[in-house]
Amino acid sequence: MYRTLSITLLTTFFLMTCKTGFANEDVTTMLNKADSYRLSADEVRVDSEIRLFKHGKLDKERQYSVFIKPGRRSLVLFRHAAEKGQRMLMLDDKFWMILPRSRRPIRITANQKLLGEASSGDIATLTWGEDYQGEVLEETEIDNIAVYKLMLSAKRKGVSYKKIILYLERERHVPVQAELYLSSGKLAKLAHFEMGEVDGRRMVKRMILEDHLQKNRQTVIEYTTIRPQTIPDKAYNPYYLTKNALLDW
Amino acid sequence: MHYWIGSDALTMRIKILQLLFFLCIVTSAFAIDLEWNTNILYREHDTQSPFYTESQTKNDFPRRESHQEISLSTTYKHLNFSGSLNYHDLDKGEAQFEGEIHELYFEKSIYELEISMGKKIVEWGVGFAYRPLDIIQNEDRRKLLSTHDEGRALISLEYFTSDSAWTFLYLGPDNNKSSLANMDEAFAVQFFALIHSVDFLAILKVSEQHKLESGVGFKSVLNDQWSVYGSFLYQRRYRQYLNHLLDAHTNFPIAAGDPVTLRSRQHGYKYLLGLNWSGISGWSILFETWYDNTAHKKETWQALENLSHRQHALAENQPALIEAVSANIRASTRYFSADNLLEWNTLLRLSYDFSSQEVYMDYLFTPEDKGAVITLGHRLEGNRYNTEFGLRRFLGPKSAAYALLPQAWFVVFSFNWYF
Repeated sequence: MYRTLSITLLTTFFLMTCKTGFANEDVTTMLNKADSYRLSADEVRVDSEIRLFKHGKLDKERQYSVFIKPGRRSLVLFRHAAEKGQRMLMLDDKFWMILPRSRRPIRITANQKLLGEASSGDIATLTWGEDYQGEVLEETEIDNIAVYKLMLSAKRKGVSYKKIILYLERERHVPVQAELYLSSGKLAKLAHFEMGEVDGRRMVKRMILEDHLQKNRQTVIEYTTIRPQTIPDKAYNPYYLTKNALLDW
Repeated sequence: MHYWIGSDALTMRIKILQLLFFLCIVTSAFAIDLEWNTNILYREHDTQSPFYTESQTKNDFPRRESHQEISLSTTYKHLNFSGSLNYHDLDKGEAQFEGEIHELYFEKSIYELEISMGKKIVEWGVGFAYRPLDIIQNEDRRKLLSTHDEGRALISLEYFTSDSAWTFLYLGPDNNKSSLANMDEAFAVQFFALIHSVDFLAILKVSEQHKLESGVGFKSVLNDQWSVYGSFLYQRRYRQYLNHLLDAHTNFPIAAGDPVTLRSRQHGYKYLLGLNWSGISGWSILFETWYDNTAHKKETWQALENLSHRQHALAENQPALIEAVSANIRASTRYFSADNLLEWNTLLRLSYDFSSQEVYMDYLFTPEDKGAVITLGHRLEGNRYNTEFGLRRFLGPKSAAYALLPQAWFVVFSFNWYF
């Protein structure tokens, strides 16, 4: 009896360790692959056009340019006339903002970054591999597409969403859908990803965010440019945010 | 720098419309940002205030004001410009149309240095309701609506590393500004560094008027919700308004000339501590407390109040002196233009951000005299416009500095359109 129990326990332990080991290794590869559909290089410029809908009706349009560098550095330039002069800088888990008509960078908290309808966090953060760790929950289907269902949890401070349930296409690990959860455990947004041609490459062309906190609101983020571009390191200094030279890039 | 153009109200309105049409065409052809802003203010006077005089209060605190502004800003190569055309209409039947240059400067990167020359806005310091370290621009933080600041003539050299920044400034003299502001010729240095995730700021300024000003500031984000910040400034010399009629040896409460002058004093210091909480729900709470030894004390305000009462009593007994009393009281109202009316101040701000809108309540309290200012506001952001509505009421015991103001409350409405 003891022999049978020992074999059962050993088998269970072996299967558990195998599953966990497989999942960890695979998830990292999967996330990096999924990230490659959103960013084409380590140092990249992403231009996006955002449309905000209320009750299905277009409410606002906004334009942003995001400059991303390795080391979780993102610089967001707000391009729309109503937000001209506004800029946001993200250095790892630290954030600064310049408001229109201001010449003074303000250090902000992660929650302040989420204020406003087109959350800067949704625009500035484009990688899962660097920010999250996770596991494969199951294999399932969404709209007749075979997908992996992954549960990601934030491995660093300052990320917009503490937990993400991510659905990746099984074959190529293309992102299909994501449920974005706040630290309170509330579902904040549901994201749908659409692929398309961006600068001659097959990338995530559109992200549609359904707001679950403010019902009947939808944000469509369309990526118009995703191309490698290097800007000087000093541009990621909070006090450089006041410089008009940023507008030339 | 203001350029006065004319004063015929109807003609000016037509000119503004013509100009707006012309600017729309020009801005669509060139990379120029164009913005139209209109502000309307209605004010209720406090006729019980000892600083209220019918003739003078109308000038300094008009019952109705409207302000329209067309702002332009553009960058061409290394040249940066921002300016506005303003039309200001007061209820006393006067109107003014003027052009204003906010900024006009050249900026270029040479090797690792950033060089700027010209008229430029420079804002320093940390704080919401008050910024002790804002010794260059000296922005009026008590304004209800944010307006365009006017830059200062300067030459600056800046050096940036990944986590620190140096700024060296030469500031030219500017005699157009209010006399309390720090607008003298000066040399200044600012150092910023990110040390263990804390924003650290140190400043130094040398000028004839203040001799030496130096200070430090910090801001630290504790977690996703909380941040804490503070700043301290020392001034070797500072200036303060003095009404000579408050002198104990002066028996007659009226001066033939201007009784209020600026006196220079030594060793000024100011410090501020702030705490901010922002929830994911959109609610935010901000608390600030600050001390400013360059502000007047409660006793000074009481003495000034008594003086005004004596002046009013004199005017009642001798009607021939009404004009002189009015002018003397108006001179005393300059005390209200100081950065802080009293040494100790606290502010509590509660705001809620939701669905393109923000509502807020500010409660400014001066513990020395129990005076207070309450402000309720609403902001709405549209696709190409935003609106702001605010109501401000001055409260407290009769002798509290804020309650002494010759205005009881005012409401403002602002509309901005972005082309």
